[in-house]
Amino acid sequence: MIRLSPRPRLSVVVVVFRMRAQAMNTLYSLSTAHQRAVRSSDYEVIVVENASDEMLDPAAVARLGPNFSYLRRQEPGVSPVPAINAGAELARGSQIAVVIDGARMLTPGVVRGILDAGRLARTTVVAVPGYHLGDRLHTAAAERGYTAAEEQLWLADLDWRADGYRLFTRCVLSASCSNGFLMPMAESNCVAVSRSLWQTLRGFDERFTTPGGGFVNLDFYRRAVLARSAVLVVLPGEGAFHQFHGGATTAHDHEAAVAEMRAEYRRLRGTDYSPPEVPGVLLGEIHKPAARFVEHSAAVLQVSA
Amino acid sequence: MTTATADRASTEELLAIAERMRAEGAAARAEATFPAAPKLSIVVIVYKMSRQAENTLYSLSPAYQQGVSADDYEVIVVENSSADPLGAERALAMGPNFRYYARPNIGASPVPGIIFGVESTRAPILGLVIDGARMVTPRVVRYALDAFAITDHAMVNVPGYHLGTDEQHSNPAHDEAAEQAMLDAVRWQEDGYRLFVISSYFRGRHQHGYLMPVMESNCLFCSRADYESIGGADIRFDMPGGGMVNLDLYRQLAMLPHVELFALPGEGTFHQYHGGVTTTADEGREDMLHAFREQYRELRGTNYRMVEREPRLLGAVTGWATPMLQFSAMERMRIYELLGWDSWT
Repeated sequence: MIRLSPRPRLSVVVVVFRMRAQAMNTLYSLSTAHQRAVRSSDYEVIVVENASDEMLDPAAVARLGPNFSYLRRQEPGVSPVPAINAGAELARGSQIAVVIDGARMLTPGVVRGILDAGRLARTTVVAVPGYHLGDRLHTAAAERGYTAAEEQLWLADLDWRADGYRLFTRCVLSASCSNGFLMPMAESNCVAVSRSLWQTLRGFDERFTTPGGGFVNLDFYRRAVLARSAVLVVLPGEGAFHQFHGGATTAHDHEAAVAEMRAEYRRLRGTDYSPPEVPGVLLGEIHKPAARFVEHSAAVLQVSA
Repeated sequence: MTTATADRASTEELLAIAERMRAEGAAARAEATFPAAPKLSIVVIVYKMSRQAENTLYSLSPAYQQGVSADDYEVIVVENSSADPLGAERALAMGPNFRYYARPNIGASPVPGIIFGVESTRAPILGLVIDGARMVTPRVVRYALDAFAITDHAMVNVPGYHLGTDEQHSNPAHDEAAEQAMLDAVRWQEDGYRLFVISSYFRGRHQHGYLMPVMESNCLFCSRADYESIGGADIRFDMPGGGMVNLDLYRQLAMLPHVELFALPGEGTFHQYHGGVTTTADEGREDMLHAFREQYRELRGTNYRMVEREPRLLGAVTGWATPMLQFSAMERMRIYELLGWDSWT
């Protein structure tokens, strides 16, 4: 590990497992070449990769910027949770963000949005709404023969590196926030909390051991949002975009896998999962392609109000 | 209504008035004691609208504003003399952080009062409510402060609405009695967000929602440093209601390159009917607006143009406020599509 200085304000922990192409897109999307209005000294990106037969090239990660560090580890289980907590152990920022699935690319205002949101209260939880690239959720897309190769070709054609907000032009809201971001969301696939809150929550709960960590991301989100004096900030103009990669909940046997995860949550928490019903403070610009999701979110809340 | 008066002061006389207002404002500032160190000073100009101003001031009071306390901000009420005065007692009853100044009427414009009021403030952040008939929602002060937690050079726009089902100047049936009945019915003092239920968006100046450029803000927050760097409200806007002074302030501030523009999508200012200069049904309205534009052109050498800058949204959005958020997003998509634009930049 390379130790960087001075101390950044934000540490982003990204967990990677067998998704080289997708993870390199995600990591690029977190670099200062893509993130706007921030400097490499403002934040660090801690890449934690569990060993597989498709590993990242550490030199390629290092080339993304002086604020990137790379940790390779052997993971005996099937959950990313130990990797997340190992990455967070190295974090030096006053805010800690977790991207549990390294296949989630981020729009160019995410880092600035998290940093700014962190100024709004002593304890903040910052949520980036989740999307799936393409025309439908990836579980449904897989059934229609959608492939990672096809998606990567489309991304290259889109030239998303020139403007990351183009990702909004072809995507759907993730199932966890299908009602938009003005209604309670079930989780965020890029969630940042104040360091003190991370410590209070003792990070992600390692007792979640089902593939992909099961509901651990939902569990962490709920515990964070409902923590005493926490202020939830949602970035309505930004997104965490899932690339198709055969991850835990995007492959076949989806239903059975989710049932197992739900059962694990119930066993650990004594109840079924429900999204935390706390209205978020919105923060950020709305670039044109994102406006349709703002419209959708407003429409859903209007109907339910 | 006439727009020009025979006894309008010369530019030299106006500048002398501004100087005097500053001196008197500084004297008022020197006497202020509470709060000891306000983060924010809000100046409200009141003229011939006692009922409306009382509502506005209550909406700015610590009893109504959420997430802030009286220690955080001060409200400076500047009332120009009229036949319908609010008076010190009603203003000061709003909280220990309120100050009240009764001022003689100088001309037809609120600008002398603005200059006096701003000079009397003490905080590094300023809020301006040039028309005291504009009530606000409960987190306006909280989110204004939040914007300045993000940057010292924030500029915060609270979207404007009119009470009633249509804009007041195009609805002769809307009068004070009808409005009071509506306000009583929603018990806005208990939940200020209910004001959205009895209002319409002020489309005249913000016809495409707040995600497109707007012309002005009727509740505007900026840093004192930025306000001073543009010279503040220009005393030469001497027409009734100040003519286009509010638009001029908005544009000059928003044009500062380091300023970051915020819009509060869940909050609003709500205009109450009061026979105001541009918000009343009046056959002379168009002539008057024409004269305002002429004066702007005379002073700035060009027609007024909206500032094309992207606002950042800030704040929670209640269900009541979602129709305008939805409309704003739709307008954003529609117009950008028409123009083939991705962003203003």
